[in-house]
Amino acid sequence: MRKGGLGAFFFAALALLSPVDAQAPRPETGVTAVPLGLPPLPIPPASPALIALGRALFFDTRLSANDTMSCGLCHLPEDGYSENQTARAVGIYGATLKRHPPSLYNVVYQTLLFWDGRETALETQIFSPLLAADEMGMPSAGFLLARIDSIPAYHEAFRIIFGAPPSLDRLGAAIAAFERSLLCGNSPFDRWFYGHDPRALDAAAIRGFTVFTGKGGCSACHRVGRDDALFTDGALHDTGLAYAERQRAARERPGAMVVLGGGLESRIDPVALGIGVRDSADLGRFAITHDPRDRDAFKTPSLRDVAELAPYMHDGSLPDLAAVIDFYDRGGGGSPTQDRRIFPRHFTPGEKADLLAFLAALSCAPR
Amino acid sequence: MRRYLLAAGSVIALAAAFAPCALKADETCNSPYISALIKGQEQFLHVWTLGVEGIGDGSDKLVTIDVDPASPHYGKVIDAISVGGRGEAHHMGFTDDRKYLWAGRLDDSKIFIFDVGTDPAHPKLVKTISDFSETTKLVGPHTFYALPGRMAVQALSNTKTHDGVTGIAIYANDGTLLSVHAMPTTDSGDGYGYDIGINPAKNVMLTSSFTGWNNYMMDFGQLVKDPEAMKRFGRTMVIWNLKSLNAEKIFSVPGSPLEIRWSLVPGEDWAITATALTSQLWLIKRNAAGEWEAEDVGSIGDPKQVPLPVDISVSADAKHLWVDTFLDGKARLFDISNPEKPQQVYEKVIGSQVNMVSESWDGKRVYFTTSLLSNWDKKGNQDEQFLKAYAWDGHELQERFVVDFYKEGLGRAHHMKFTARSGAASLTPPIQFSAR
Ligand code: HEC
Ligand code: HEC
Repeated sequence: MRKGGLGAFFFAALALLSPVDAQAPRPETGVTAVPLGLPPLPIPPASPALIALGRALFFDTRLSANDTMSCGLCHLPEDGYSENQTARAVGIYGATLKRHPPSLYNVVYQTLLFWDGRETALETQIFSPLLAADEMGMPSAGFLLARIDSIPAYHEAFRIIFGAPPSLDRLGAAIAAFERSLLCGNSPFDRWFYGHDPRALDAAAIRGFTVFTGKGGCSACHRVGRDDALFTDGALHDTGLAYAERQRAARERPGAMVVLGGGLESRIDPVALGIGVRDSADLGRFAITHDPRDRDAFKTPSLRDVAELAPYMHDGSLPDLAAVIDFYDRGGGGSPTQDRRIFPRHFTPGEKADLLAFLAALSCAPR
Repeated sequence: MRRYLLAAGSVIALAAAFAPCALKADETCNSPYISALIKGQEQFLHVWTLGVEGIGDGSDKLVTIDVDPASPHYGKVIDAISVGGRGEAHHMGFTDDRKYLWAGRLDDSKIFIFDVGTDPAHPKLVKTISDFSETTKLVGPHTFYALPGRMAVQALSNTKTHDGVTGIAIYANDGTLLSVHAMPTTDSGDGYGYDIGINPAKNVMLTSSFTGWNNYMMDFGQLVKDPEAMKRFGRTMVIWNLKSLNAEKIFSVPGSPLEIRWSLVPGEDWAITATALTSQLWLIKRNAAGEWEAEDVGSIGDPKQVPLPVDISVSADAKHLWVDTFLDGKARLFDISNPEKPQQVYEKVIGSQVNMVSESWDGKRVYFTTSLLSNWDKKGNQDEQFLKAYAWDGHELQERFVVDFYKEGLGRAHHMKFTARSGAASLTPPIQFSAR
């Protein structure tokens, strides 16, 4: 009885907490049964209360130094928990991050986190954005915990759920619980391939699957299993993209064509105009291990819900899926060190269209 | 986002009841509901200044400069109120009684209300609204536009996605939130916002459109290289029914239309605006059939060079328009005696960058500041930050004084507003308000 009363208070408090009405259109949060096409959960699902607490924290701008940023403003539910507005994420005070936010769908299955795989657990990953001066800017872990504990609903929630105040572990557990609930499966492809429903996928997408697993060689890295598919091998590879982007930047200087609206386009050189700073190169995994073999290596992203995740790649440099397919068709970035599974494909226009149809069929199921 | 805590109709009905029929005012861009204009010599200039890390206390401040040539402190900083922290200080607006100045920050969405009526030489911070985003779900309070007893606050973004879809919040003068109104997203509306301009005689409110938090906070050099982000600029202007606050007509005005200036001449029902990215002047007017329409009436400089027109200021007789172009640091003067055919008649480089322009009611004094947005301003030695005061004799801008905002330890100089002591001969109430 007493417990129920507290629980009701707790949920009411959580409802109040969520500063944004982050009504995710399609995330399958809090489910215990795994959607069709996904492997069994490696970790048993957390309690709904813990997931709700994590969700509130995830969307709460009070977890940033000046109340402007939340996890959910770089990982937007309506953008597949990635972000469609910019190539590279914009952090606190407008800082430009090096990379594009990956989708958080199915992150429960990931063993290496970040594009360079430098993090290994969701529980510890959160402190990178929370404490980074260019992401959420919290001055210290202690300050962050004190801030959370000073908010009455959180103060209460941590004590109800953990019987203890917020700590690094408990904060990690809560946010990780929410992230692990973001499952995306049961797509038209899953219903066709794993659910054996012949009408779930149209002919173009079926042909596209043949290209994906056959001539395209895509499933060598974006894996599709007999019983389930994550569309990633969880490993890091050099596709030549970073190399190609460096080449392009060097070739295109000074300036780039910019679409200004109303049919007006112009070449703008930010450096000449005094508004530009030059980028430092992103060498991927190499910056973590300093092993030359890791140069330009980035983690294979899952392709689930991929149609919603534009712009693409670690730097958001490819605007749409057609550009990604063209990239592979050309044989990747053409770097001398790139993975040998990336080579010119010579797709026909029909094969490209079929691949596109297949990728579009990986959308999370509407609920 | 749309909610009416108070019937919107009544807010605006009240506004319309007190509407000065046609005299709208700046010195020369204030709301038509401002009770008194400074038609003679302004005494003080307040500059809403962005704090810069490592300069002074690094915080945003309201800087007051004595601009009265008869004063012993002419051209000197006489006051600076630090409000604490950096939150992207941007624009300001007076309440209708001109006693209070509301100043907003686009990053943390705080609004500071200064008493400038009691002693304009030394404004006092009397209230800080810290829950703007929490209560309105909007981000980036930009334009502060006085209504009778109320303040309309046009925002730029929203808490949910940080993109440009936004709305207008109406506050009572005491800082109580009354209602929130979404920018239209149907009928080709992009939902974006920027400036407000009201023509009470025609019961019309006009709004323009900029971009969301992600873009205005982003490093400008990075932004122009990001095609996805460049797609997310406003491309509409909206005609609203002022009384009902219903959007009535949406114009396609590509390239981000910014500041709105209605002609201040009684009976002339047109407004002019400039598009930042496409460098065009647009005229919003009523056609022969009495319908509002928007027309591209000419270029500012060479649009291909992207001069980036930012602020504009119309003369009280609506014959001239100052246009600042940020990237080439120029002030340009257009003859708009025929608003359908603006002609550039003068230009001068003010500095390596220039943003805001404010002219006195008689057009004889023109002031310029430099900062656009903290992450859009130029970098290195091109990042000049100043206030420059000029005299305008109809032919040439003659420099009167300069305040170097970096040397003075202040920061980035942005929006300007004039004040004068109450009872000063220069303070003239608009005639229509004498009926009140
Ligand atoms: C300013 C934008 C921003 C904010 C705020 C942000 N992220 Fe991210 N997130 C990113 C970017 C960019 C990456 C990729 C970074 C990299 O690879 O170096 C990323 C990567 C991740 C990953 C790795 C996913 C994978 O598959 O490798 C997780 C998990 C994650 N973020 C969760 C969070 C959580 C939880 C928060 C809040 C505590 C948060 N993020 C806040 C931008 C952001
Ligand atoms: C050698 C392994 C490998 C192969 C083969 C491969 N990919 Fe990838 N894929 C990657 C890696 C690694 C990335 C991330 C690269 C980066 O960001 O720099 C990626 C990125 C992508 C993305 C972008 C996803 C996002 O969210 O940004 C798409 C789409 C994609 N691949 C589709 C394909 C298709 C289609 C094929 C077959 C034509 C293919 N891939 C073949 C490893 C591979």
